[in-house]
Amino acid sequence: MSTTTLAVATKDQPTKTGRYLTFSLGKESYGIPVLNVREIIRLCPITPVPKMPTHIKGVINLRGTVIAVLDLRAKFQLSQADYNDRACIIVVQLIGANGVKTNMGAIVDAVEEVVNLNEAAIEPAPDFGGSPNSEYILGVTTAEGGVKTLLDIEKIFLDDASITRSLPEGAPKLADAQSATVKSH
Amino acid sequence: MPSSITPPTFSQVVESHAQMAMELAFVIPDQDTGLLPINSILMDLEDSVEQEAPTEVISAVAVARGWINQIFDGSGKFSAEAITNLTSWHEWMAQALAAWEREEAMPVLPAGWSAGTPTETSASPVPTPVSTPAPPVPPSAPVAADSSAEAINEGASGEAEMEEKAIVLNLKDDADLLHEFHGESVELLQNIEQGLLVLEENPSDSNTINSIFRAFHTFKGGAGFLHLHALQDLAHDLESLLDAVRQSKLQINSAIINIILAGSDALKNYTHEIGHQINGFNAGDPIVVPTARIIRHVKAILSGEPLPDESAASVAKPVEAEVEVVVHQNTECVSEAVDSAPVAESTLAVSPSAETSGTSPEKTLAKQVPLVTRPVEGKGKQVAVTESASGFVKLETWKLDALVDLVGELVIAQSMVVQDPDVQTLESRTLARSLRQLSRTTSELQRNAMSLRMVPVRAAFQKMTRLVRDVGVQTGKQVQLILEGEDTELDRNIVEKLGDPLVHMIRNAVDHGIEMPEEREAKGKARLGTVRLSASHQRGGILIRIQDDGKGLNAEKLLAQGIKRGIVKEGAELSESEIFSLIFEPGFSTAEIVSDLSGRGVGMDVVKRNIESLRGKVEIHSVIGEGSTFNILLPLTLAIIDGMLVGVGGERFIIPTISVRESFRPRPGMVSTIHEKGAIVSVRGKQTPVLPLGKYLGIPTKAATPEEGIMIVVESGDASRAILVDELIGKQEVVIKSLGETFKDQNLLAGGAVLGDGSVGLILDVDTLVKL
Repeated sequence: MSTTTLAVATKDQPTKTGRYLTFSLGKESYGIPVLNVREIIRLCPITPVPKMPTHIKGVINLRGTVIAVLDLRAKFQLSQADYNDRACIIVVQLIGANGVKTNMGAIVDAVEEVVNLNEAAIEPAPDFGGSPNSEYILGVTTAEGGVKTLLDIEKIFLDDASITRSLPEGAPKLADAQSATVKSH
Repeated sequence: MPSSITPPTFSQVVESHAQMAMELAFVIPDQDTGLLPINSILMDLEDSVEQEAPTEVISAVAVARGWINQIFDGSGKFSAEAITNLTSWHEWMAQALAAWEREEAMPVLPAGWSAGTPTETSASPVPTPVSTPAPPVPPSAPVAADSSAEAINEGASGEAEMEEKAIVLNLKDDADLLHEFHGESVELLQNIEQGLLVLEENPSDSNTINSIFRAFHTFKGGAGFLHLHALQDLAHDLESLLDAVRQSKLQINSAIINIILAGSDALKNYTHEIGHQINGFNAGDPIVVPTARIIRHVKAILSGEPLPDESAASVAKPVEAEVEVVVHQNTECVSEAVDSAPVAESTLAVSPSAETSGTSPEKTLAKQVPLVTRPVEGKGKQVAVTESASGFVKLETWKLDALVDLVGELVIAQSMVVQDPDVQTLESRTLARSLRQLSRTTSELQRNAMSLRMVPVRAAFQKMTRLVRDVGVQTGKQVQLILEGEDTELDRNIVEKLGDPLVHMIRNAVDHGIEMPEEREAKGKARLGTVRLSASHQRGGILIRIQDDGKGLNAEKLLAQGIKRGIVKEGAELSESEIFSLIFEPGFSTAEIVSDLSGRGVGMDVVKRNIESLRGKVEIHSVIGEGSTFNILLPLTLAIIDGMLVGVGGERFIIPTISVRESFRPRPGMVSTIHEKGAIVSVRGKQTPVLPLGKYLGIPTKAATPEEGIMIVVESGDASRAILVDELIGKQEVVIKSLGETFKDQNLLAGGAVLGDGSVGLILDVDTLVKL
């Protein structure tokens, strides 16, 4: 039984130690916990969904189920660029508030590698003076060369899994969308 | 019990195992290809085997998980050794699964499979497989022992008390059992009710009496097993009552039928509440349904007439509750009797044990009550078993839904192959023939899969018999319900949701439609009013018709009421069907007396909403003095719709064909604008607002003027819009898929569908569009 206990421990421990999948957005490098990742697929045609905030790119057909795809560049208000053939969609599994498992996809420029990080190698998120995105950041690591920002992917996605309504035209600014979500809870 | 839990686990494991084979095929030494998918599959496996699986399988999954963890902790790439290990693991798993399925002895785990590859000294101590996972098995044994002990205690103490008992569900441990019990009970209670109504007509029908008796008995068994004593006691007493009837000690009369109906209603309330709690509402709250009065009543009836002077309570109890009696007799026998109860519904193995346990109490009982149910009961069980084995399989719905979904995918994949440009350039006769055969087989398969979801409307219809009876009694009217086409099949989801609207409409038909017997006689009609409920295929869907020969809808009265309430403008000219549809307005009621049953003006609007949510329509026809007819037109299934594929700019959307009235290319002059903004188009003399879809959705359109595009006239309720799109691409059947959490609060789209080229098409929600 101790194997199971071990697996549970890795899941439940508040520690940030663990394996991270790293990927790039522009020149920056990010990481998300491997435990959330279900699979990585090639960028495929995405059906845009009208009247949605710009960072919700649309929906794709993932082997018969329809899943929503987020544009992380737009979500973090990074500069927009065309995706090349290294771009992929990372499919993440989330457990929503009602306990239902949902899959969602995130477009990234390129997937780098899986790294093993322990708590000591992760520094807390630097304070940018109330930047709207810092709430998604688990921490920052310089291990394995270069600065990598570790993201709380569940927080990013659950934010969008509960968008309260289709936003009126002209409104889909990130900050607005977020405050609207907060209010609705 | 494990046998009832394993199947879902087993099939999940088999599926994951198959996925694993695919992933393993692509694994390359010194690379990380496939590492994440394999990890994810193993996570799935861990979840699946958590519930119920042979210990060897659990350990094997843990072992493999350990290996992958080591890879993550180490190089992050597959070593050749790891691949060999995983491959042999996969082979071992195949054997293990085969053994599991046949319920044979499990193969032994290879010796080297403890802490993964011996070369790596990992921090994660993966245990030796055989010794560790032992815990999952023993628990079931102690639990069983506990529960039987408890059952004995409860059984003994339950004898005396009579007040209202609350039941508390053990949702955590008994979830699966409760689910099964709930499903079964709903069916049993429904059968009981049907039987009682038959009995009312024909009190001496011994087959029906027996079948009701058996149904109560089965119910009692289930309730007892789950320690739902309040239900068990009530079912027990009702069963005793029926037993007395069966043995001709009591004559069936309306008092008895009514008390049994009341009892089965109480049980129904319990069951309903259990259903609620299973679904997570008020979970854990104690459930109390007043039953003491009914039980007292039953006992009074029982003691009143045929039984010896001993008090009804003491007689009624031992009649066949073997547990209680045996407690004082023979402890060994108790455990046997208790053990037999859990298995009651499942296997033939019951009968021998029921008989053996039955023999000893029988003798003792014989002293108290001359004729005991026991001997017959054994037979009753056997009958129940053979009945359930008559060619039906009970399945969980998700399995059906998954199958239907997969078949939908297969059909799409098939058309992707056929339409592939490369395939089309090949000029091979054999290929063309094979492809045709593939198409034929897939579409046949799809039709078959779809038919699996279809159930006859019979059950939903038969519930109405009771309703008509009750409403008739309460209102003092004489009404008969005639059912037609009960074998017509509909998607089970639709049948489920059809229940409430039907109840409302049938109740209205009896309460408002049918006149009092004297009134009918004065009008020259038969005293007995008739409500006819029928189902038939029509216009590619299903037509449900509710027809009464009552007084009919009074159009003038309705119109006056509508004007009074401000729903209709004074002096407006309404067609008859428009006037009739006023009854669907919220808060609209023309009943002069608000009765307990209907006429509060809530209901018909809900009826309409419910039916529209099923993508159905309601039409009313009525003639004063002759009666009213409600036609409900429903689609055959909710999973598939007939869609019109339209193009706007580069995007494609699907409009459900059922809402489309017509489509045309507007000629110059047909479209006029108002205030230079809103455009209207004249469709068959009716001015219809135009909705330029591209402009509304912010998509650049190809058609610069309306005349270059296509108008699609859609309607929902009374509202209609002419939707302006660039082109009409085609008509096709699509499988509706949910868009998921992200889009659950928008109302513009009804869902998505995978199109022929594998991309997702969005289905527009016409109800929203017509309000824009």
